[in-house]
Amino acid sequence: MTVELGTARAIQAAVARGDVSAREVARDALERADARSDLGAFLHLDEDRVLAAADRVDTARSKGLTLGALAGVPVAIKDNLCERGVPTTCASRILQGFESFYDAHALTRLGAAGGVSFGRANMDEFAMGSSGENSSVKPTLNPWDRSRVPGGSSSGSAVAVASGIVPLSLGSDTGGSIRQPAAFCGVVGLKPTWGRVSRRGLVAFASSLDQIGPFAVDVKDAALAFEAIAGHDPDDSTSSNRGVPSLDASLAAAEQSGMKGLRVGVPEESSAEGLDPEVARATERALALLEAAGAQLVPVSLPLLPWAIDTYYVIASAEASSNLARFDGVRYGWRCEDAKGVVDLLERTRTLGFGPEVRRRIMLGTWVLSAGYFDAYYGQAQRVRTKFRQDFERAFSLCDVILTPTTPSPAFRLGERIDDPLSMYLADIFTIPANLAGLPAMSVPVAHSSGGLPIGVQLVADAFEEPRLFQAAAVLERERGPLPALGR
Amino acid sequence: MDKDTLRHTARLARLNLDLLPEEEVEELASQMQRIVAHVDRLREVDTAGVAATSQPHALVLSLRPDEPSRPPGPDAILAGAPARDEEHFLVPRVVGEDESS
Repeated sequence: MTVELGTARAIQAAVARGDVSAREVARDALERADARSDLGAFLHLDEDRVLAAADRVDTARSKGLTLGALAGVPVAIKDNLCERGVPTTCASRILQGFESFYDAHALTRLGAAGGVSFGRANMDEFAMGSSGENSSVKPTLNPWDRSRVPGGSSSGSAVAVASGIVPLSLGSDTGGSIRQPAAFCGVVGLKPTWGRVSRRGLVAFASSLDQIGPFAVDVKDAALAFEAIAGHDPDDSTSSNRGVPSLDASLAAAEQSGMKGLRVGVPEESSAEGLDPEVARATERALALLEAAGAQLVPVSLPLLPWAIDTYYVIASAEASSNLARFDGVRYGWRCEDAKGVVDLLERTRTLGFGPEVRRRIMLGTWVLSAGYFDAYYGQAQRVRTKFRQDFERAFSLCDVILTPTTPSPAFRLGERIDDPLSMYLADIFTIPANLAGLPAMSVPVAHSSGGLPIGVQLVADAFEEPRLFQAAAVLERERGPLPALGR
Repeated sequence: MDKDTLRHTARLARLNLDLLPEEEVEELASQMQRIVAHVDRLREVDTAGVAATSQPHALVLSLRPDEPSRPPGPDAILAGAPARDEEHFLVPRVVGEDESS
């Protein structure tokens, strides 16, 4: 039997009614994962463990317990979210064989909602990359065209959902690592407000930018996942203690009143040079659809957009060089054994344990923090970051959400940019500003290119304004109509 | 960024470029030069009088309830170590090692 239930909502409802068991849902997802293993979406998938988690949901149901909003829904987990009892490797050699002794807070919350943790999703090593090619294990392939990248760094999480293996997954987004692969793969990807979701158990890359978020087949499922994982965690003092609003009202408003009363900001800089014409057309169409649904379009300005990449790479790399100092061959994972003394042990383990992109970023981060360069680079980037925040403050005094392309182009070819880090970094130009300012942002699929590749647009809202983000996203999703389905 | 700066920076980061093939070091050097030239554009932005941002939102200091809890013991923490000796992380000999740095 094959359970083609589509959305997480449909699965939860069917499991709750008893039309299907969580075990059957899990077994079918495992079969799909096996049939589509060539995509490279998973680094580790423990069948017995998945089925055992599903059985716990079925047992709860048989006892008449109240089932959570994600009961029986298989959820793929990015390999940088700590999970007890399975490897957590960040797709890096240096964490080969490492097992965390605790679960990330987001996973605990997911489990409490009845979600079934489903395998360790492939990624760019330590979440550094925009193509999935920096995984030390294997690249992930784009299910729409296997010669193309799925985007990154949450490559496996995006592909697991896009290829229909699971309806939901968790990723992390430091400069676009959820939204960019979501756009490349034709799924919904949400980066919540910085502080909305506890980062405890997320292996730190750049702590002031990192945020955990879901991939989903549609906006309503993304809302379910958001509600499940958001909220204060006493063990992460940077997680916000603001209450998490239910998104039901926003989704209902989207259905009843569309975009009436909402203003959509259109940054003049987002039609920058180098934007793929099909992406530009899809973005214009999305704006027209929102306007037709009642939105007022308002010009806004993000004048520093051309410096986004520079600001980001200085700050993210500086924080990464500090965060990744803990990987020393002493406390975690892999150690290079043939070392002479402690310093040699550190250097050998780190040089041979990290891949080229991670080494590059550690080098850049160390350099911008070193004596003589600190203020000119790191200090300056932090000041430019303030200006990004101020520009968004100004923009959100004029509008409720901002719409931009998610990426300058659809998915590029495997190998095309791997030797040219700067061109790879440019894939994140539209997504980075929301990380710099800590804002919630979502990529919603809106079109397909003439070559059959998905195109997404990004909505950005002010801090902690996820309800508005979801309202606009739900309207856009409805108005854009059905998109081509992936051929099996 | 010249070769000396590259090697010095690597040392600060506890990376040893001598362990990499020469062509990989060459490539790293040219990539770093281009990346540094790119981020150098940040100087163009006028930031006079602008304060630095180190995290996006102001944080409210939150204290957890003062209730006793049991932290994971040494066994849990040491389980992930590549080498241990009972309750200690094991490292190569430190005293008398033949190492100038």
